[in-house]
Amino acid sequence: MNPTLLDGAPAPRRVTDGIDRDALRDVWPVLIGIAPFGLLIGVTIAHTGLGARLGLGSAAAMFGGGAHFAALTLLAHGAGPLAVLGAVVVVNARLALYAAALQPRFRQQPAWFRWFAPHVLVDQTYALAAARPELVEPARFRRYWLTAGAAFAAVWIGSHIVGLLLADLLPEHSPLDVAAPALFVGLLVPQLRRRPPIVAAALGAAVAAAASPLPPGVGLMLGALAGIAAAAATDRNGTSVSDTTHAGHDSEE
Amino acid sequence: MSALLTLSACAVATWLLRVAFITLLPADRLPGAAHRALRYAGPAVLGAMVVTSLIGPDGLAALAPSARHLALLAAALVAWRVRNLAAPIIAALAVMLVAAAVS
Repeated sequence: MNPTLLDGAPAPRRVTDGIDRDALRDVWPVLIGIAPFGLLIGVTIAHTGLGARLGLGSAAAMFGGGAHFAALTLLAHGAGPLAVLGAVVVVNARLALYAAALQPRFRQQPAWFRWFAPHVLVDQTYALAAARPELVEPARFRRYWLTAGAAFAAVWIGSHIVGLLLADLLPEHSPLDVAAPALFVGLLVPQLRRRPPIVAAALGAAVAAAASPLPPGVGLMLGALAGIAAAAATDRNGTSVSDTTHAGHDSEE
Repeated sequence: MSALLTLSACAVATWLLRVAFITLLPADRLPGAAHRALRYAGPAVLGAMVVTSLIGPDGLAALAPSARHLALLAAALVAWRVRNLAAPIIAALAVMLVAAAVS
């Protein structure tokens, strides 16, 4: 009843009753993608002079790179509490969107999971879960989510610590920086086999690029909303205004 | 002390955003059209993420043609054919390393 110990899988940490091997297989490329950003935030913590304890504590409590980075730099520049809070809410508003999209998978979960497991909901964990729509069985999804979330948290906070310690030695950019966009490309491309998702991705990208001078996270959310709206409209048009060559059409009205 | 309070408030606000549509107001109670449209959140968000992670702190200047675009093109081609998520990342890193060696 404990197959995870076999098969050369990484040693489980015995925190949960089962490590999900699919989650580990999915999450490790993600970890390559997040490490450079985690290092950068560690370096930022070192340079703001807030102290390692507060810097790392807030990283774990907030658990979102873009918003944490914004909060740290605003605080270092002497911004007031409301300005910092406002920026964090704006940057993280997209998390509510991810939560809404993933909610069906949380519906039949125990209360502790519904209240606390969303803490590890970030761009990457959302994307991983969205790429595995077959994970609907509650216990299976719970194991997947906790395994991916724990691995993510360990590497995320670990990379902050390394960044803090090596703040003066690390270069600002490295070829590794390409891992993050490459990860998103890898998650996106297999979904582009129908018209609505293609429209969603294209418009999401275009709007995010146009909105990029806005605070980080805002462009992302505007792009996501525009992409979703356009894809939903395409879907509706596809069912009512069908091509002349298109014989049958499904009735999803 | 005030930094501690501010960051704590930020953490609480972020957590509320995360549980808002899962626990406080479950999304399945939203209107049907909104609920159906959320099916496309995945590709819309990922499209936006590719661009924002490409742009990063450098602004739109980062969209000028560079080795990173070649790397992402390689990642896209590999992702189209190979289901393993590591493959596109390795392809992109390989392109970047070759480009760094050549230049």
